[in-house]
Amino acid sequence: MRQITSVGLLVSFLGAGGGIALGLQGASRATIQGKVTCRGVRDCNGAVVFIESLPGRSFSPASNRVMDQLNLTFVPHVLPVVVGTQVAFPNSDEVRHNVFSPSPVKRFNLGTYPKGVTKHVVFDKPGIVELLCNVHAEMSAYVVVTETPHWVLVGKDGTYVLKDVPTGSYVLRAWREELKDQRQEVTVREGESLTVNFELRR
Amino acid sequence: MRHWLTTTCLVALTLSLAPGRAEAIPAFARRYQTACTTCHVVIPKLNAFGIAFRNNGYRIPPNDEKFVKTPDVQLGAPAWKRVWPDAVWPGGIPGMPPVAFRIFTDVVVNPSTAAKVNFIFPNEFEILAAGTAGDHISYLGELEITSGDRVDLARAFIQFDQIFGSPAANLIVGRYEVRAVPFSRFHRRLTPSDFLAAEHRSVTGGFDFKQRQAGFEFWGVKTGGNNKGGVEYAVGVVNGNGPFADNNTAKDFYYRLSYKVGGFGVAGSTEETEELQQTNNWRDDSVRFGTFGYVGKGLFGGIEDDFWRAGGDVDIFLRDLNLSTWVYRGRDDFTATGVATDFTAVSVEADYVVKPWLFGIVRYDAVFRDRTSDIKRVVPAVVIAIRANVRIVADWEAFLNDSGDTRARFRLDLLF
Repeated sequence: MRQITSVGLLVSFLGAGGGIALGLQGASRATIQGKVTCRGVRDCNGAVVFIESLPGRSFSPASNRVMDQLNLTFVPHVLPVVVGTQVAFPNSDEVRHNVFSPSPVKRFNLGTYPKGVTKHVVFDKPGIVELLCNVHAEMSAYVVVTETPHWVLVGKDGTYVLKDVPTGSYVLRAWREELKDQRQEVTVREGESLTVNFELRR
Repeated sequence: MRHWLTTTCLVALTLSLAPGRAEAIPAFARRYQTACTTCHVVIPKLNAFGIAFRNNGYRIPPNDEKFVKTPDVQLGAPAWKRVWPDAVWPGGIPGMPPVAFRIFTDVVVNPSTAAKVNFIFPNEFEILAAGTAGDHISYLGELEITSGDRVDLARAFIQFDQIFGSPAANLIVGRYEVRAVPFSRFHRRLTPSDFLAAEHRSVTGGFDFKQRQAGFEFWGVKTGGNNKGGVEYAVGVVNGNGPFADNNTAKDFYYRLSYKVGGFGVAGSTEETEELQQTNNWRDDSVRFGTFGYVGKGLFGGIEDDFWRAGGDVDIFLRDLNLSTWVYRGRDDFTATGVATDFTAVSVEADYVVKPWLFGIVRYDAVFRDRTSDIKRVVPAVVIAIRANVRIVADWEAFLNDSGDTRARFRLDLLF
């Protein structure tokens, strides 16, 4: 894996299936794909597969990451970001919201604020950060803070494709809310298309 | 009487020929938008899948969420669990009221009574409520309003499910039918007439297995190897006398232990399925052996009664045939009078699925009493499901003792 530069970063959202393709300058052409099976829940919607860490490598955080509050829901429900990313929390609802997180990874409380106001949080440690609203108990969301930009949102059917992954050995992790996450050590070779399946249970 | 039977059968057969998919719509059927036949051989008798559903705290194993068509209203997002103990653990309520109704009417033919033919329209109207309240909690309630304008809270309990993460440990608190009863009135009996062994009392007002009890029941199930059969157990402590307020300090205790060889797992399969089987789902080739016991102290008419019951049961499923029997020995020891009453109760029943909507039943009931005459009875019956949630039942109680009494009953039973 060669050095990733922010200049070469191309982020594209691939619709409901979720996914990010990283057009990396000089990146590997290897691909990891597979299926996540989510037991005990309706489907795999909201699951994330990501490379947990690449020791010795650091990555620039993306900009313009947004967790909106609209129609009494957080949008999106799951937001993967690289460590150090600043996420904006606008309130687009007619009612006031109070975003907070009880997570040890990033504990914060933005207080109650009305429509039109945007607050910001920098996520400086890797891990899963639960988001709640202290005004609306039914609202929740997750920020998945990763050490690498190699992540993909899994489709409802559990299939995923993680493109342009680095070569070498590292840990691939699958996570979904309410299920126990799973890690697998993988070794990826140049140009390879590796299949890695996960089975997540409660 | 033969005329009545013939007429009823012809009407039922005619109705059953009408096209259309039969859907039962009580609370669970509404929640999953599935037919009664998913869980019942015919209402109210549960099939093996229905038993596993009940054993999982009224959830479809192993992935209930996949089958719920009307999602619960969440009382707090699941992420609130992370805030506990600084916030209330999140819960849930059904997306629609978990209420269902049952109404049944009876025509009773009894040659030995003044009114030889009696229309009991309706015999009973029931309000049923059942569902889950988020993770690990479920509930069931049943209010019966009978033709005599009597209102009876037949069952009302809260259940703490899968306490340690599996159906091996659960706790019921409330008013319920004890699991010491191997063949339940609510989940097993197809005939309007009860099992004689269930309703037999040694003394008027005394104990019988038919009574609903108020107390605590700790129970569990574990599926056996290869996802088949398995073990079920229950222990409980109940008031004994009176479901709401006890009339003595003593409590009653009971146990139940059974093992099923073969057939569908008692806790369901660990393999996820995409489909809820509708055909041949009454078939469950298996044998279940069980034992049960109940010991208590009653106070009936001012007389103390130390009593116990102990017995065993066998339940055999072979293709379309279900053979079952239960036998127990009972003793009532009236200490004040020095009189003890001993008896042995037996029920043997064969159920046969002729068609998915037509069932034949024959049962032999007997109570052999040491001090007084025995009671013996044969009950042949026919059940016709004219819809998944509507059935017609005809049963005939023929007593084999000297009285030679007979009684026939024709029931129209609707759940909605």
